[in-house]
Amino acid sequence: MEIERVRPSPNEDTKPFWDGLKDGRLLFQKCGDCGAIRHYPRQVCDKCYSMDVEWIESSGKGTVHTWTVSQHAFHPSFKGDLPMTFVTVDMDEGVRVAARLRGKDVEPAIGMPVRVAFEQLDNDLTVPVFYPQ
Amino acid sequence: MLIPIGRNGYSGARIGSRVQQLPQFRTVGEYEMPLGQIAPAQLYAHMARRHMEMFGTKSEHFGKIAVTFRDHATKNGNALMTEPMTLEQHQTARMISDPLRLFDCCLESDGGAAVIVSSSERARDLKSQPVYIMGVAEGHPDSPSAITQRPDITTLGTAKAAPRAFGMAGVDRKDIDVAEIYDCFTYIVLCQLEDLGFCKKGEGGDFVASTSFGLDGPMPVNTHGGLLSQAHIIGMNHIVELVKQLRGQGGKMQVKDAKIGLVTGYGDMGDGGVAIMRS
Repeated sequence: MEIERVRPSPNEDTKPFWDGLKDGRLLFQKCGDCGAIRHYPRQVCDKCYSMDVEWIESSGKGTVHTWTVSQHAFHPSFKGDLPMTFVTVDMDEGVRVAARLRGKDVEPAIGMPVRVAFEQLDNDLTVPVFYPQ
Repeated sequence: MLIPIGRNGYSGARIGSRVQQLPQFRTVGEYEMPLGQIAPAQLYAHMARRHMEMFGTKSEHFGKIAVTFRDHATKNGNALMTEPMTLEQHQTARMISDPLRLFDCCLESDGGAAVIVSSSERARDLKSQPVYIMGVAEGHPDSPSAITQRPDITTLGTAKAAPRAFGMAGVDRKDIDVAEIYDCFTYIVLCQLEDLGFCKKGEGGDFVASTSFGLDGPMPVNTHGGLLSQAHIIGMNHIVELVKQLRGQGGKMQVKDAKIGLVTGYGDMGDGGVAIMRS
């Protein structure tokens, strides 16, 4: 029996983010009033509480803020993926993105410059990943 | 007021499954779990790794915390973990999510605990010997929705709560005879020691290395064994243990002349509660 994947449950505020990934674009919200860029996607600007929002495309570049390598799958759908390296990335736009780190024999380190790429897991789900720049 | 807690954190829904259930973790559920970042151990590993790389904190520091609390649990008589543990056993245990090894992670337990809170005036007539609450405070991290999104992921809400709790209590760190510190992960104890003001931010590793948290030491911590080695009763067991210590009912774990104690609560990825009590 195939194990059901862990899936996001987008709403109208967050769907553009997931749709962007399917198109190979990493999108962030930008406040329509004060211009602050925010992530994760949400309804209200945390700087000025405006609900006006536009979407901008990220440069895809950033540096590793912190990382972990998981040796234990906490959901059966990830058992075949171990070990999994996760990075939290400070993007050039000033927001943070969490994703897997890819690349052969890559040792994660804080400050490592990385760039985003996109992995299509199935027809409905594409996730961001990072490679060393 | 009776404050009870009970849970089947082992036989029922596992404790980590809260991340999927609670609305405040919606962002984690939407943006991190589909990537494979599912459990608290993976999320806290990011905090611990950042602390290690920024400040030179070592896994051995986490190990000392785990080994000390295990030693206390072996004396408890009401703890799940009854076998002593060595630093070597800690260091060679399997990695869960680097840098957190198996014994850096707390238990998931079935159990219950409760305390009764009343006015000090009323407590005088009660059968049980009261302890007195001197100061309490809570604090929340900036951007509490996800660990990855905090401006400074090495600081907890505890850092905001501590000055208020100590201020209300009118005592200082040196006055604390015994501390029961929420210990979902060993790293979180080290981080709270900093945030509580027992040492400066970044000095937690050196502080742990140079300070005994044992029952006979200058700063006994988690005299019952904590979430790491007694049981995970959501930290209510920490409050119960502090009350016992201040009543002089600590049994084999009793800290000599324990008059003033501190307990921290914690939850949901970084909220911190601090209470200071006296006998």
